[in-house]
Amino acid sequence: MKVVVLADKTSTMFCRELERLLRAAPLPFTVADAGFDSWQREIFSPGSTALAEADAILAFVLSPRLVERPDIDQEVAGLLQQLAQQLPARTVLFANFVADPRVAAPLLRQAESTEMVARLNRRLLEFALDHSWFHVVDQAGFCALEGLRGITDARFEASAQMYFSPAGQKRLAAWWYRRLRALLAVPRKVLVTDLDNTLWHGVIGEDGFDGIEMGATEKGWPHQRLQQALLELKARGVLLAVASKNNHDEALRVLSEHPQCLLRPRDFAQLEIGWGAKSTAISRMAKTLNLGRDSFVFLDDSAFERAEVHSALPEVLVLDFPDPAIGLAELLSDETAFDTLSFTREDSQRAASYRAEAERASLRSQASSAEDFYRSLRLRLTIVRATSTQLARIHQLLGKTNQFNLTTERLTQDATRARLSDPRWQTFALQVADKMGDSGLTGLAFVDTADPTHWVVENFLLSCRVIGRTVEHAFVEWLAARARAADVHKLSFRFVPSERNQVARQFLEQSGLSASADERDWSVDIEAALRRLAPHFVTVNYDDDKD
Amino acid sequence: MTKTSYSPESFKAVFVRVLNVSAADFRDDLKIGDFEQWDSIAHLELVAELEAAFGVQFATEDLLGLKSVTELRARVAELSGATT
Repeated sequence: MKVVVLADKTSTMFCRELERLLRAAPLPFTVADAGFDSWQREIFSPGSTALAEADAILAFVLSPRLVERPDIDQEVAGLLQQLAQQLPARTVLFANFVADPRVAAPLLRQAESTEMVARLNRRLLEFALDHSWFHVVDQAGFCALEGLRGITDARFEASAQMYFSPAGQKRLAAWWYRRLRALLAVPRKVLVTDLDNTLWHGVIGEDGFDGIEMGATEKGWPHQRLQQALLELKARGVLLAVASKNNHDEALRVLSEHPQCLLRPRDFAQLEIGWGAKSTAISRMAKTLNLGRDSFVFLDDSAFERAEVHSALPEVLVLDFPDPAIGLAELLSDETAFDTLSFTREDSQRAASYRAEAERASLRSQASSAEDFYRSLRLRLTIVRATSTQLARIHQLLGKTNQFNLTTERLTQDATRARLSDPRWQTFALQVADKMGDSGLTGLAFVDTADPTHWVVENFLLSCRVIGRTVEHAFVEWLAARARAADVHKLSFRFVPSERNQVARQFLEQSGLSASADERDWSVDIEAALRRLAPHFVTVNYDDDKD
Repeated sequence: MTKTSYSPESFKAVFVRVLNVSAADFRDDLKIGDFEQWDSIAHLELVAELEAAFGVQFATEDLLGLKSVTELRARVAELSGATT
């Protein structure tokens, strides 16, 4: 894949450094430098690299000089409009803006410029919320972190129109590299943390409730900063969990009542406080939360615990613990394991949804039979015809779902969009709710109706959060009824085995589908599916205006 | 980067690292454009790296104005107070 760098200033050194980092990783990107002042005209001119290569990623690497232009507001608005119209659904990474305070100006004028920058950045963020292919890169954050004096050099700007100095271009390339990496990487989903000497300074069993520190003291401070960073991670949709060797009630009291503790029990999707092995605790969490162990990151001050988890569960990412502990303060801002560029409504609700999942697991263990358990959940499956307003979430599901995914086909956003508007395809979005809560959009099915007598489910996938509640069987029954009503004689599901989708295969077997010789094609006996004692405990709603 | 004191050898070390040439290909009479990767952008990178390594600062007109090993070396030596 090609990354086309569109800039207002000379950015060749940035491009070379970015390419070097990508090659060293290695990541499958090459970098093309569209050149000085290319950010507005280049892309739309005939014969441009950006237009010629349909899957090229456009990176707008812009400098604070742009803010000095009198009409920058309108220029950016015009550019965004043009992007949306002429290059729909192209992946775009766009630097946000920052004003260079060294431009001598009266304070009033500076205040106006600050407001203008805030307005511009707001516009970029809103555009990103409306267009899932558009991502904002926080270059203002980069400039604040590095300080403009350290990354600019007027001599280089004078002789080569480089706003950022050679050293600054390299630092900036590292910043962009991390964002590009996030485009491809599958982010980890859970951070499991220890308590003693990790979330706080001291050992609760020895130092006592009043002896541990996590406030504004020399020893407590790094731990307070860590807690703050964990709260930020949670807000971004990462789940937090505790694995601690402690007396349960004593440790829980700190989380519940300690005045300096920023994190409370409700912030954690799982609390494993006891005396068992931490690898066992993490395996149990993986099972309860229905997540792969490769979704987990582990933080612990004890070298013994880190080694134990690493040797028992090599898929878990075990973080190096900073020594001295002051490094905790910035540990997570440098951690790339959770990086993701897209953010949807479902991300921010994930923690609550996983907590509900843990409660379900406990209900299940109490229920006298599986059926009782399902019935007690009062399950509701809502099926809607998917539309392009759901594109960001659909694309995310396609990219992240591994276990219950019949084909693991990662459609590009363009291809997904095309399917949504093509009458040949019936694309269904599934939403699962029960008495514990609503999961949001957590399932997808693409039905190819090219042959009106034989519907083929090209792919069917469910987020791991909703597997195991029988809604998958309810969906098959519902689809069989829909097929029969449309005089379809044959209904089949396509299946492509992967290393991780055994769950999907079990579903095909349990639903009584018959496999073709190569097991790539599984057909539904429509009549039998309708006669089967399908999960009566699931209420299915379907409402849509396309029908 | 820790400051290095100037010598023809330490200059050569920075030169071959930044421009990614083998030490065997280094010659005193090299100038910008003599090999493919020594273009004006790489030249600016070289200047910046020389400044960082030897703790010196070039005048603006020297950034692109000193075009050869001889010229660059002489200016680094002069700015760092060494004798050539």
